[in-house]
Amino acid sequence: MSYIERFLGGIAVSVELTLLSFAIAIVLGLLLAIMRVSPWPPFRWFASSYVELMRMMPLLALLLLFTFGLPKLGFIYSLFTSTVLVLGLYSAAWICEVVRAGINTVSIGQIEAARSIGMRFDQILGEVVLPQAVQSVIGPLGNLFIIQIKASAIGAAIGVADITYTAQQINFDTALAVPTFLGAMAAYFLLTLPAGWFFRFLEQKMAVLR
Amino acid sequence: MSADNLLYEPPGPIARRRNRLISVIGVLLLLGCLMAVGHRLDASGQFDAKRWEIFLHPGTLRFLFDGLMATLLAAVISMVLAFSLALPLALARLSSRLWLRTLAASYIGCFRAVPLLLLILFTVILLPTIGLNWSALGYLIFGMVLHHSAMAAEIIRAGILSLGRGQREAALSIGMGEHQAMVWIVLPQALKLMLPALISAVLAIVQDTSLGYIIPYEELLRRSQQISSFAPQSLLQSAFIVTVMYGFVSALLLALRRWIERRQAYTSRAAIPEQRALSELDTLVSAKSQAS
Repeated sequence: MSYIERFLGGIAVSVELTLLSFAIAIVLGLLLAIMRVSPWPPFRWFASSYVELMRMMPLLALLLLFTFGLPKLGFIYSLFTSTVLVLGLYSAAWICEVVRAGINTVSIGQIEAARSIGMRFDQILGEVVLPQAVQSVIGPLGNLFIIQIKASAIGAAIGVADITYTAQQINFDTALAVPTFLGAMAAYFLLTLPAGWFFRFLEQKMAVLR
Repeated sequence: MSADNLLYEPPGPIARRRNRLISVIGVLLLLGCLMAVGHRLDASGQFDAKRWEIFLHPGTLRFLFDGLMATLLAAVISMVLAFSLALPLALARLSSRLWLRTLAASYIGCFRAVPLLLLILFTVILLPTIGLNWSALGYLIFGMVLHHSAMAAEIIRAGILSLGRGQREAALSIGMGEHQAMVWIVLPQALKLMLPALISAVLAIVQDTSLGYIIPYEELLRRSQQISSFAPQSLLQSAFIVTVMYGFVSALLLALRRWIERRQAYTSRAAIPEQRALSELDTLVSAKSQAS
């Protein structure tokens, strides 16, 4: 069944899109979150305006800007690369928000204790706050990951051959809309369900009684 | 929001000098990046008057304004339909009848798990085959309502659950029926609690109408692309102007959300900052825009 093979190809592309862009988003988002709580105002302003800007823009608008706009300035990427970049840059804002909210869940006594024994900003953040924030952040991060799987479908709008795009193509070839649609749905469930289980497992492993 | 639990001591004179140095370096870095981008834009002539003059035309502005109106029209209709479907869905999801609960749960599970883009694409393909030949607006709204009603139902459910059992039990104990307790005691309080999350959902709906671009429905994003195919030299400029227009609508909604949150902060029962942060964490993710 070549249609199943095509779907598998689409699944592979969706997985690549999700993993690569989520990796970018985690690194950038963590960096932004650290900037937002740092003692240096310009960094705080930069991080919060970045987050605001990303929240104000539709993802598709950003994607079209990247695919059609950047070549005009002499930056030419493949469609796949620009989708990964856009998804990563966009989700970084959400990861920043989640991490910042996670930092706020660490009780203020912990921070005061760390300050009172003379720890520096980077020590407090790296050795006291972030390790404790991780356990309340892991659940929301899992949700963001699942959202990222679905958001990666945006690539289909510019022709990256992910699950959604493949389904559209198969429908053009066969005109069997209902089975194709159900197949695409199943493909997304195949990705989101295990991701959900994995993050729930992680959350349980990290659960700490407080 | 407890931005005031500082992760550092109030700086002394030495630290203040160091912080100032780092801040200056940060500003210089930022300015440097901006200058580099600006130079790049300038080098490819993006600031030339001829690339902007098309937007001095009243016709062009009118064209974009109509696009914005089309975006808002789709958003408002989708919002009303999605929210009015979401409330019964959330109640069904919490119902004590198993079949009702399962039905609602599978609806929500299905349409939350599928990308909105896929949903809209196949709405366009499937609905005509059962004899529903609608306009692009109809297809867009249909897909949006399926998806966002499931999303909003989850927000409402979370709001009802976060209220705590005590309210309902107290209502029952003074002789209210199950139904009365929900309508008069639980829902009004829960709706108030989830208002910020619902406004984020509205923001997501507004932004998701940009997916109408692919149907194609003549909304703002589509219009900006049309301008750039009509006047290819103004591509970045029309993208910029459209971004500003989306940004304006989003900023209004975000400001509304912030205003409500500030008002609620006074009355919020979750006065402990860590708890408030935890609930913020919950609402943050539950309302995130899906496909866009």
